[in-house]
Amino acid sequence: MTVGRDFSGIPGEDRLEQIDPVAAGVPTRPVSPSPHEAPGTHHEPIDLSGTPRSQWYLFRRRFLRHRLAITSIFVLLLLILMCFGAGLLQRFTPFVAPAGKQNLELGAVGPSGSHWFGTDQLGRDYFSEMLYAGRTSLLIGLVVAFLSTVIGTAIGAVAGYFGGIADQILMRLTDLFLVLPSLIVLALALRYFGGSVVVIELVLAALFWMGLARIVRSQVRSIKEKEFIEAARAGGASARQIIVKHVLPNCIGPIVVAATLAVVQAILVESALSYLGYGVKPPATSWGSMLADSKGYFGTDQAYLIWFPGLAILLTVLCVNFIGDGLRDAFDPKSRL
Amino acid sequence: MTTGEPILEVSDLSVTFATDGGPLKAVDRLSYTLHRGQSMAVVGESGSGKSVSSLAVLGLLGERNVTITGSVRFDGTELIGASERKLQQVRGKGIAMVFQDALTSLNPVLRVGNQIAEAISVHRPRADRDHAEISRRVVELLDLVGIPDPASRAELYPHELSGGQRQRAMIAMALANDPAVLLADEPTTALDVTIQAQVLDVFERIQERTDTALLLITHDLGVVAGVADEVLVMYAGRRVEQATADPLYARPGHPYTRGLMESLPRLDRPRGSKLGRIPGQPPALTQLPVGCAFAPRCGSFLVGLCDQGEIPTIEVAPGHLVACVRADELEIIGSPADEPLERSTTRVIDAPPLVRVRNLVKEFPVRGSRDVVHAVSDVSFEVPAGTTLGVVGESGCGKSTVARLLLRLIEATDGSIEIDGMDVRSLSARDLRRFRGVAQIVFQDPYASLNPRLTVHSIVGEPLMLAGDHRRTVDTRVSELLDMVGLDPRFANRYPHEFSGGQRQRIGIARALARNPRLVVLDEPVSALDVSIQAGVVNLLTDLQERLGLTYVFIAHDLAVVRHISDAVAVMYLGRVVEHASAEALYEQPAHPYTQALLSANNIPDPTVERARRRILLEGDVPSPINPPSGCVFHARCPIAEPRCSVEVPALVEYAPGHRVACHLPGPLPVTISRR
Amino acid sequence: MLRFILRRLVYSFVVLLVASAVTFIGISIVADPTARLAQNRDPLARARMRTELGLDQPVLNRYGSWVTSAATGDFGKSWQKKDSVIDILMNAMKYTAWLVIPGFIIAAVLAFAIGTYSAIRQYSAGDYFFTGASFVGISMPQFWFALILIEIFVFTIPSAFGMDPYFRFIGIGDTLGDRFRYLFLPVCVLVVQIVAEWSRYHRASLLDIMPSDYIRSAYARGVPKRTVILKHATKNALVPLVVIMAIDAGLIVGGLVVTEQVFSIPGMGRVFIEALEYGDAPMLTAWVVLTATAVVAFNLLADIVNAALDPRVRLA
Repeated sequence: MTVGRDFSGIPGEDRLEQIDPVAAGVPTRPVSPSPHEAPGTHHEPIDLSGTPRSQWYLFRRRFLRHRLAITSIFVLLLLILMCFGAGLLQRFTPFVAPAGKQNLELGAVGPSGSHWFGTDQLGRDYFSEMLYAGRTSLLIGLVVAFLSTVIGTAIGAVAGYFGGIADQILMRLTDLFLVLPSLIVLALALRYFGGSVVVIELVLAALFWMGLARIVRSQVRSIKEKEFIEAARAGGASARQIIVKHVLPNCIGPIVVAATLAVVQAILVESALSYLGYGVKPPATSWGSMLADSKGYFGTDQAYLIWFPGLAILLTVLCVNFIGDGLRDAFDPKSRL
Repeated sequence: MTTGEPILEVSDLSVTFATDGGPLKAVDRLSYTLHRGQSMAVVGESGSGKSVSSLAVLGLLGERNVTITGSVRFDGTELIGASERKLQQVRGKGIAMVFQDALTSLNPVLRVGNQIAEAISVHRPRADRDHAEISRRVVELLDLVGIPDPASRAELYPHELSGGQRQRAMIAMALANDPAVLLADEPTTALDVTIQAQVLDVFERIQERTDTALLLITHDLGVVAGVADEVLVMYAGRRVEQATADPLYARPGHPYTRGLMESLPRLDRPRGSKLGRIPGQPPALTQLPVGCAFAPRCGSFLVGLCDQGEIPTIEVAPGHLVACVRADELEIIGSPADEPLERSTTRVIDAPPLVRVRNLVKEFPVRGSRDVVHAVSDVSFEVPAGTTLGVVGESGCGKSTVARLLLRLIEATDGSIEIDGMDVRSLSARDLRRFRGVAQIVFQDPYASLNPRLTVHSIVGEPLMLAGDHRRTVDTRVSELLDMVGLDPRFANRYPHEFSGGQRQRIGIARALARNPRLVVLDEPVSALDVSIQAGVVNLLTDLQERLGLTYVFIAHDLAVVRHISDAVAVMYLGRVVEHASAEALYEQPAHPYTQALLSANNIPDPTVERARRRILLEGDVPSPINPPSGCVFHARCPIAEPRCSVEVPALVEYAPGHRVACHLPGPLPVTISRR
Repeated sequence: MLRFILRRLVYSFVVLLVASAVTFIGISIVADPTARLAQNRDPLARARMRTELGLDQPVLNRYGSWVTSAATGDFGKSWQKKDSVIDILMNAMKYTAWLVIPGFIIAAVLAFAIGTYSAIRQYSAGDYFFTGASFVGISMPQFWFALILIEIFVFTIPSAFGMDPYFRFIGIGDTLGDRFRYLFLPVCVLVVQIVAEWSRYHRASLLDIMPSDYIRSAYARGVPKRTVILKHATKNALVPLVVIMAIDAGLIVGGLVVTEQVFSIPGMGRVFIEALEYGDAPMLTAWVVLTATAVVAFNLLADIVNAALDPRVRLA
């Protein structure tokens, strides 16, 4: 007796058929009404004749349609290369001066052919200084985002999946820090521990992980209810296996987007802190500290000292925001934020 | 019955969407005429274009990426291409629409009465909007559709009404301006069966009292049989058949219609016959085949004939249209003869019970209050090995909770569960692992039950890998399993979203069978599938049971499917088993009033039967499991309840050999209870 | 509802207490107000100051006594300014309020209008413009934007036209009539940032709502497009918008620090910076308590408003 083959190789439209209300006691499942048969952009037609198309493939396709995000990636990469490669550029090209090389006779001079961004009060080439400062700013942004994402994901996943004590602690902590202005905590901590770049990174990460943890927590809580998780449990998977193999891979979208937002936050907050004098200390420079040094110059001929570092921050953060927007769209085309 | 002059004339209506995958033709040259007072049903499965066509009539498809051609004339006025102003005057006044899900179709932050009042006042000139008078009209309308205490209900918000009341409120809103045409898009699909019966009753009364034409869009051939005079069948955006109800059901002309009829399990047919099915899936609307859209799945397909050019619409009998080139030649046979039984109906019911449940209780605390949800209260039953126990009931009856309790996906509050000799509630960690290989589960939602990030191979093989099997063993077994469920093993490296709903369910079944379980619990496994796909999966399940000696606990709300596949059936209501008998006994001699109401609410896809049938209508809604009624949980809605019923909880006792009922007054209900 | 409020107040009180402890102990450990006297001519001056300020006591004791007097309403005197802490804060609040209140109102109106416009005219030139502007708005460091505005409006433009600058950038002005000239720039800085965030949010809410079933139903019963948007869609979109507005209101005080610095406005921000620099524990702690109370109060307000506007929300 053969069981008829259902697969006929003909492409079929992948549709959500009508789901009737499920009589679960509790937790009740939401009833999904049959969508009007207008094409749902989140269902792809079945074409089993081609190559396997994983979610990653679909994601890539959607992301590549975001010209702004793609452009931003290139611009950002360029920035990163220039800033981190400043040392090399300095050795092998004439465009970049050695770090901190002063020219006291020259003083502050506006942009010209030999000094693209002009010079500062000590005659240092502003363009080169911006590259060196950029190293710090970008580094802080990336490291803080990375650290807070890793810690936040781990704790958020545990809190979201298991609830209980971990969850309580997380919620109470975030409540507390919601109420305490972050600037205070950061300023206090930096005052105490000193302003080295590593300390700044650690302190910022110690504050930012909580936001990420909450996002991960809420994602995990909603995925936890899905049937494929129950199926995994029914198959005998342990909690750890479920979290790592089933839950987290399905949360990647919001986590990545939140991580980009963390980069943005880190760069902006660092610049504010440095402006106030609590951030990066000389001889290290960041774009924020450059602004702190130049803040008195508005209204003078040296106003360009204010424009450039700010524009650099703006450009960087704008790029990261565009990338984040593109990512968000690529992960979940239905959300329109 | 068909009466007056034509009120809605649709000619050559086509709707094309611009999508990433190319132009998607959702509706292809659809034509029909609706007359005053007539009731017509548009029948089709997902992707047939039935909903899109009705949205197009009212211009509700938006303007972006949509091209609509053809003509829709309402009372002489052309609606396609009409100005927004003109359309606005017709919407809600000349043609009114009722949608499927009342919860999402009503504005959640506005009171119900407010929204109905708006439907009225929007069609009156500013000067003529007397609030008092409109409010009175709103109450009148709510009363018309049978909502108790209409004045206070009007002050409520949509989420505060029950599902049935919400739907009725939507109908009231549609009727507010005495429309000539009522478009109802799957109005009862999201409702429980007994509530569905109430709402259909409302439609019937509307038809009796007004000359409003009804255009009912649905996939449910049973509902159609009871409501419609004229039926139009759609497939892949095209009309494939149209006739009055009787000839359509008795002598379907188009192979698709015939296939549909054959794939329905029916309450009035003998059990045990194999369901007919339609192989394959509906075509992608972006890549329709040349010629007949149904050809690739058609058993009467002829190369050179069915895949060329325009398919003509042939009138095989007066008023009976069939869009099939071979309509004249093919034998218009009567209802297909039932295929001989392919499995033994005389199952060994004396086999020892594989599942033994005693006094099972599950209570959920409600967050933020001291309330408790009594999901399952004192449930006991046994399932002999190798047989199928069907569990039926409506929302809140606890059947899904029972499924999860059996698999120990949630912990019971009290009672005992014994499966294959193991005491499920007190398994050690090691025994639990063994248990996972003995009992498995298949879920309802084919889209949420598979991890979208894993390949089919990983999904199906996961239970084996967790049990520690070798890579190569897993590979072989996965191919074997996919083959067993009718899927090509070559596609094991694909991802779930690349498969259709029916195929995904098969993947879920393959996963459940991975470790050769003895018990498979199926929680509404076919409810989310189209009818023609359902049949294939049901057949698969019965075959697998035969081949592998599986024991099933089959949970569903569709009585016909349950009857088809089950040896014994348990009916649940509000956390309790109210009746438990062999399938024959339950369907032929139901003893509990609720079972009888449930059975009578089920529609038979046969107009002559439906017209002659008497229906038992239950009052009110399904109560909440947080505050179940005292005594017999059903007494509040029971048509024959006596004072005793509200005080004493009836025990589940033997009413006839092998037939248990929990009722103080079991037995057939008097005929006077039911109504036409 | 009352139970909810009470429970929340109790809980918030605990949080405030913890916040005050963290601040007090934090600043006490981190900064030593007597350090500036280290090089003083009088070698005993430092020691005297220590006893004067009670710094020879252990931290926890000091905190304890601070709490007990605070409980009676006495928040002490600023170590730096010698005035009553409460007086200083009230005075500072006045200045900050002049910045925040107009800024908020203008931002709310603008954000609602821009968000609605962008959603209705999605993909239009206006939409792209506002979206781009929003992105820039949230990508700029606030203080830099302030500096740039000053540069442009006070220096570049006036000198290009050979005129005296109209707008001022120091303080908020002395007379009521002056306020506009002085407040224009700082309020601009505030408004741009807030509007960027809120308008995007509102736009997204509306875009999310427009394809909803109940919107389709409204069209289906003949409601004209304008009413659908302004009544049905907006009513639903307002709920989350008002909530985040309320929450942001609570956060704003702590966030103005840098802007006030740039414009030399003697508001809450200035108080904070000075107290932090000096190590003025009673001042800083009271500052934190005040701002934290604002956050708590506005969060509570946000929850109440949410429940009031959305009938589906029940206060747990």
